[in-house]
Amino acid sequence: MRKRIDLALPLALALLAVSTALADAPPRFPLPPQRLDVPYPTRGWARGDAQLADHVALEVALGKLFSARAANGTLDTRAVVVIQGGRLVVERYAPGFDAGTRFRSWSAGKSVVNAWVGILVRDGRVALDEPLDAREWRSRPDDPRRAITVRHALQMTTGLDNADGDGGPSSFAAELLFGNTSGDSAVGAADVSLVHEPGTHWAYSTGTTQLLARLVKERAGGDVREFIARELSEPLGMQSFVAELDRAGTPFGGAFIWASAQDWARLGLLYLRNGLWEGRQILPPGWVDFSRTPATAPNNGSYGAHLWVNAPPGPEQYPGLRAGIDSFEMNGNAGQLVAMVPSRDLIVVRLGEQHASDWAALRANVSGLIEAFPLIGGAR
Amino acid sequence: MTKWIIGFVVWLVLVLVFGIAMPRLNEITGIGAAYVAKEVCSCMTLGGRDYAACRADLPQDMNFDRIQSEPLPNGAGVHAWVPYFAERTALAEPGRGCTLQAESPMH
Repeated sequence: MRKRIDLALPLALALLAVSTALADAPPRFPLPPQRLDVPYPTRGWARGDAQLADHVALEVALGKLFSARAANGTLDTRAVVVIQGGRLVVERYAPGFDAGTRFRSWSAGKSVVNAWVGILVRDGRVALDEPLDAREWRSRPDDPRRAITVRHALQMTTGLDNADGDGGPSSFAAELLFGNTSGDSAVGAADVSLVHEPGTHWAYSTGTTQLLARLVKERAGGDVREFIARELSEPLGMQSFVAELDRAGTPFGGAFIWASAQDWARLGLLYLRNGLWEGRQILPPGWVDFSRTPATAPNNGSYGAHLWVNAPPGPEQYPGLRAGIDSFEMNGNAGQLVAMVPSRDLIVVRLGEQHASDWAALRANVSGLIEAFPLIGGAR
Repeated sequence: MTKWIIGFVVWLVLVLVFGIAMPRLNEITGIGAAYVAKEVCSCMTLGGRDYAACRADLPQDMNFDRIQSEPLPNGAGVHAWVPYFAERTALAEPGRGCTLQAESPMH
């Protein structure tokens, strides 16, 4: 008994320290807990009827989402799943797609890297304010890049000259994912100069995510795929989950995570439930609030820590969902979206392509869909 | 004298084309071929869709129709190429999705 207390006290203090270190800004709307009468969806989603504020608005939004077609006739939106109060209440697929189909994350995978890092922070294997310490920077003790921390990387404020660019074939991201550096993506991401003091400038960078992914691989202890399965995908019951690897064995979290729409919703539920899953603390206390709090760089408005926040965007950031929706989101190219909305205890997953639709239309339609659901008690 | 000037200009143009433009063109077409190989391979292997559907889902505003590709036998991967410029192959491997192979010289 004494031994258990001896072990429990340092662990509790460590968790308190992590929680205090993370919660340096007030959270927005509190994260709603899982209802006792609704099981976590580890072995399958509890289903129910949607409790709606506006039935017509839901059908209008879904109709619009499933109407944009590419020139070859395929629908842009391939899957929409809505979770309300922990229950699956809407699930629609375009023809040719179903609950078993895996969908590509593009940058929504960056939020999965957030979860991996969070797990390592929980276990004391990574500290938020420790140097990122890429091996390419270790030869010179005075290398200014050694001031970059894990927190800077999560918040995309490293100051490194590895921003994605416009996404075209000449962009940094294209070179990283498909060019000469794609075989060892972290090397390509690290081998750049510092152009801003760390923490002072926000710049979206798949390369930075790959630096974090390599840190995860290095600290996971053993096969990174086993770590991912043991710590995240298996506890959540994400049976479809696959993280592609580069040739060096680094998970391509910056772009190439695959999962079914239901499994993307499981990941969303983990965040909406403050990192708790069936009584188990998957993400450390305070991690989700830290992740959904915009970084303080002057040119950042809506980026947290590898999660987007529905807040006024910075000058180089896309507008978010309609103002007043208190969402935080996993976002990826071609309209991949997992939006967690605490005030409505809601998760909206939209997956597919954007051959015929643009971000503005997509976001308007998703906003309409969210607003069809009522606020939970006390929310304003 | 005029012949020498014309010769110099032709030489200069050739140097510029083969010394600057060609490597850049090779690089860009290489990235395009890699994109097609990787995305179509992953779409088939992990997305569970057929080759034609995956190929049709490539972005339609980036000239991917100029990049040729073919699936490798038995779902082993996808090979993509731009004739005379670049070729890349993505191989499907259990547990790690599709991996772009190191670039090899055109053959």
